[in-house]
Amino acid sequence: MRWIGTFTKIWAYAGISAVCAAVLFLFGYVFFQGAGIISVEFLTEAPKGLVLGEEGGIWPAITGSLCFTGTAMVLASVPAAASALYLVFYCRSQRLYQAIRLVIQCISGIPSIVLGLFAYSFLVRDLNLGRCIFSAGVALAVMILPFIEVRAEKAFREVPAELVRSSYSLGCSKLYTITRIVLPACRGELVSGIILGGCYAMGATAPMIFTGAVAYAAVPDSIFSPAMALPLHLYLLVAQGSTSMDTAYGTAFVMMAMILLSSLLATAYARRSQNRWKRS
Amino acid sequence: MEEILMLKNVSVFYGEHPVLKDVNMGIRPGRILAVMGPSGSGKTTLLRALNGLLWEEPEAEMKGEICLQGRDTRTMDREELRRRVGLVFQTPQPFPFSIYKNMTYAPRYYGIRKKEQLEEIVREKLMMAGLYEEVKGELSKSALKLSGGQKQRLCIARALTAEPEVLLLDEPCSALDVKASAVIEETLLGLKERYTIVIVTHNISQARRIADDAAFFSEGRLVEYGKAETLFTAPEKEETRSFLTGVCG
Amino acid sequence: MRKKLDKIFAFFICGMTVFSILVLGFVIYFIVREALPLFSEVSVLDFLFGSRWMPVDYTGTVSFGIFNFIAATIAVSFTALALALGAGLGAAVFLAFVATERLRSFLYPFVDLLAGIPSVIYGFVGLQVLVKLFLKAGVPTGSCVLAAGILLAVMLLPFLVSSCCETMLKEKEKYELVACALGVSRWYAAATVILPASGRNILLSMILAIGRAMGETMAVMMVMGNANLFPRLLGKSESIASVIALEMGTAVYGSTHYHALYAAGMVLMLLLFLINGLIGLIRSRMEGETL
Repeated sequence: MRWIGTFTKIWAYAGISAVCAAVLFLFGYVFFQGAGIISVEFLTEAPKGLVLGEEGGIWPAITGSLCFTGTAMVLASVPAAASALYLVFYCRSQRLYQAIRLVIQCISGIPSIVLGLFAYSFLVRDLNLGRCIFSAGVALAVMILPFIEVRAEKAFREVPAELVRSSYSLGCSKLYTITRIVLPACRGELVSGIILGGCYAMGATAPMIFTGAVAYAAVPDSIFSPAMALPLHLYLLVAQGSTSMDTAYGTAFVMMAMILLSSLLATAYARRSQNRWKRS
Repeated sequence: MEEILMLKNVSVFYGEHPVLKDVNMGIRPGRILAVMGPSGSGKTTLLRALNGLLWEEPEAEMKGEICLQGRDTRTMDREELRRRVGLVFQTPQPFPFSIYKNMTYAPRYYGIRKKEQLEEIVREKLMMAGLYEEVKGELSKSALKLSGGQKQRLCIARALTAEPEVLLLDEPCSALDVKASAVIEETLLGLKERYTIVIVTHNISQARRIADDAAFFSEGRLVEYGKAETLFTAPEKEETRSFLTGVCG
Repeated sequence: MRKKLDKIFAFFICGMTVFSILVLGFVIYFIVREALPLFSEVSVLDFLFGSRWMPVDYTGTVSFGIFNFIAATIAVSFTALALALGAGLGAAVFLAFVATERLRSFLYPFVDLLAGIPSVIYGFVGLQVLVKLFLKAGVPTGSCVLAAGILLAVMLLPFLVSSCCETMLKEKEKYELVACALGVSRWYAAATVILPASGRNILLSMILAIGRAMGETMAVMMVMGNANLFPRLLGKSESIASVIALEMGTAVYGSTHYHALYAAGMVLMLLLFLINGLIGLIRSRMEGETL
């Protein structure tokens, strides 16, 4: 029966190598293929060409993506942080807590394409907003709401209980304790949670295909107008076939760089501001 | 003498599990009461019940009545109760601000904004806790850079800024060395003129040195309660005697 | 004044929480509302078990049966899970047993980078690399269920690796010394004590992973060929999410086709609720046992 130990050992080394290879390959592939395409023109011009996007740049898609992401972050962060506060500091019944957790888990389980369907029938049709940044932003916000909530709740729970109790013991109310102790202590994680949620929203395509993102639009001037988005643009370039492959690689590169950079910055920020508060 | 805190048939349950069983006691003002007992005998829960912190724990349930100056604490606003009955924890927990901001945290909450007034409070309370001379030049220093004993005295001073009538201390010296403990003991003796003090302690010789009254708890019951002198020299109950001798010898 | 603010804040927090909960109700309401009209024209059984999907009557009659799509969604998710488990569990064992604290704190975020890649990029790379490989290997057009499975597997990796590794570290703390005190090797202990002890938590992560895989749209859509066929490992097929994404743009508002797409979305959503309910059930039972 010793072989089972050896087998596990081989499996472990093979597993980690495969995983690392996958990471290296994906990043390497996109960066090497895409890096050559990037130029100032590519970043700052609108798409051109006989088949749209074959030439020119992706500026409207970059700004559009930022608008979609920003709308989603604004819409999602307040209810997400509030529910996390409720669950940690206000909810007094274990049952109610479990129930709310289950609801939030279910929201996170809704497939993103179904959120697109929801936003289409509710906002695009019923409220007659048409395809616009706001409609897609709502779908994206629902998608990242549980994502932010889970991170915020975890951060709130990690605030040392004694700090909170000390504040209560001085006769200070929950509001004062939350604004003076809890929120400053969790600022890093809250901000990084919201930004990571934004990264998640930025890469999502499915919820915005028929709710706000379009094949071509100028730089958006209001959140009630449709806009281009990087992921959809990439998808369309790929669907057009081999003539627009270069710009597709470039788009993928830009998208990946934006997401990677912001998530790295967010994580670093969270780590830096955490040191002072927790485990003092 | 008029009791400042009265406990009538107080029981506390965590779910099914009783932590305090039917405690009756009156706490007299202007004295130091030492609460002793083996770990798990409900001492910490007693303190949390006294200042209403128990209400923040959904699974804890309290029966009976606690009166502060004759008023049932359950009818009081919980912030008011906690202001009047301060609590200092086992491990010192200064907020990760400067010393000055730690000291003005509560006064600001109570609406004091004037700079001179705040500074006066900071000076007065730090003096009471015997910390002022050590830190007066560096009030803007982070409170986390203080030594363990200084941190604990800062927490005591911070508790005083809420102008409490009763000060509860949960084993304030258990994380400190002998010297720092001695300073804290001295501080407490100086404070009893103005405040009623209830201190939970494991250290029997410490209780002997500072307490006027003493109470002994075991498994959630109040076994014996009386003048410190009597309780230490001639305990009535066998349980108390064996605890005192067991720990001492 | 202070009291009032406190009350208002508490009220606001409660209100926002209720709002977050209502979001779920809202989504369900709109999906169900748009889906129900379909069933006055197509019977539920025909819809779920029919395999002919002819939304527009170019030739002959229209027909709405999503059996193949459901089968494809499930098939591709399980393929992905099997593949991800093969590599992911191994990697988790490595992280839990071989890696030092320092190596772990480097490898964790490294593997986590995979989670940050958008699905459309997975699809794109899959199309450029995997599909071409399959084409060379003799699969016609190269698009197939296996390609989608591999892509999805990579997407599931970061989640599986971190959750499995966490469980194993906990179990390892409990049992490793005991097992080694009996004189067996570390690896033997890992295989015979710690892996089985982590089994239930690993199962839980697997179910969660299946849920994620089923809802995935873009990556799957780009490499699976999108043909209404019963899924075979090396054949084309089409998942529920892909049908919706591909056809929603052309479906006429209010038509049967439109309602059928919502109904397909509803089926997908119900599948996922089922999975999440199951997870909740297992979790609460596990908590009940540890208490």
